[in-house]
Amino acid sequence: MRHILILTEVRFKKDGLKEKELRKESGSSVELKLLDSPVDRKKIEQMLKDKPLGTMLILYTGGATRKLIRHAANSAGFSHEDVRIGKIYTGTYRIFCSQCHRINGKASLEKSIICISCGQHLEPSDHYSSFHDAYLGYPIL
Amino acid sequence: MSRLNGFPFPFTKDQYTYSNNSVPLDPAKTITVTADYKNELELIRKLLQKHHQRCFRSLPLSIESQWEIMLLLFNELASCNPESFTFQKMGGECLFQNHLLAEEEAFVFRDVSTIDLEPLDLVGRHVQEDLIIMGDRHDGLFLEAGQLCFPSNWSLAFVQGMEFKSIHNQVPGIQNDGFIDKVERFISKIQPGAVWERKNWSITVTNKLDTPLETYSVWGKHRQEVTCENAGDLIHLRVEVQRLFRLPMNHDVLFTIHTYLLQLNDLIQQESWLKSFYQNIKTLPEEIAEYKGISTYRTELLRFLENHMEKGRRGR
Repeated sequence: MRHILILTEVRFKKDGLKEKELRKESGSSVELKLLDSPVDRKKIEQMLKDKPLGTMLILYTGGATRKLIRHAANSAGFSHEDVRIGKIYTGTYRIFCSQCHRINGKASLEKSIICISCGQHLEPSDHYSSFHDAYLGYPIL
Repeated sequence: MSRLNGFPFPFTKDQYTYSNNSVPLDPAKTITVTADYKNELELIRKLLQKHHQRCFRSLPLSIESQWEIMLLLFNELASCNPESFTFQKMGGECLFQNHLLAEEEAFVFRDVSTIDLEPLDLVGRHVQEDLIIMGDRHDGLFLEAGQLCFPSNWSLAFVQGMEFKSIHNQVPGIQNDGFIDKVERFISKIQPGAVWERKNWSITVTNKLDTPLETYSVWGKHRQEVTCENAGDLIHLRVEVQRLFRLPMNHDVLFTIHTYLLQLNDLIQQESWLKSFYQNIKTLPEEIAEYKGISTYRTELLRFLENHMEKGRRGR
């Protein structure tokens, strides 16, 4: 079992803790760290360098912090696949437009939306990509 | 009858079954050149020219496997079809000649400055197959690059970077009895040099090979137009011959998809195929019919097939 490190902003602590419990139940060695605000890239990079080889990183952060940590993780030798995005329950979701690939923010999974870029009527699905951190929106004819 | 020759008819039982129907191939070939080569290559290149972001995606870490695949496919084209292709490699210097298209590609192996496109994008313009690279990482398979011109209602842009299991979690019943885990384990254990093949089928209304999710609003509406009278013209059995190959050098998995279409009017000429196709459509579970997009016109299609089976019986 690989080691798992969960990094979470204070505002997403509840989601991070839930992830920690789930991972623990499945037998993984898991630790959770709360991020300082603002995040210091150098400090994060150093901390990640000290982690065992093959550690999986799961992030519960906003978009800008996520980007910064991804860069730090890559510099510390983590591959793209070593870094996962945790699902944050905010009540709104990002929807990937299957027609033009635009990611529409702040949508609900229950209601159809109109893509802000191409105007396609989309039905949000539960098909989730952690790579895009978004759910697929299917076209409605 | 010529369209029937060489068509990979997928049904081996007179009833729909849900299985990983992969078989090992001997000889271990990852691609096939058919009589449609020139027409399909013209279409592939047009699509890549016009919709590159839709048809080609890659992550930087896929580059070594891309090089390995380019060498593998140029070699295979030349060794299996020496009258149509030649390939020479002297040290790092390579020369591929495509005599069917009167073109050549000269490059130095693993030197990106000698090619204008990424290796997978380049070699993909000389084969009829869609090409997908599944990176085999310590915790699963990930879609790391692909050249996909003829998808059946899916989006390469969306699934780029995704795990194998997440890509497939919309397929009805795939989570039952750990089926998807078994398939992933099966792929992970494929030995270098071996090729496994399976046939996957669906139905396309009209004869379009390129049916990506991105243009569903254009081609999807034709599903509403199928009647018992026009089914023979409109409906095409679509078969994807899918092959899996473990790259010996980089250990990633190459997934090739060769798509074939057969118009229903041609299919019904073969009595055994007509009967088998009918039985499979009839026994298809509703959620699979919905997933394959057949629900809208299943009644009309079955009536069309029954009429033709009845005609056949009367003719005997």
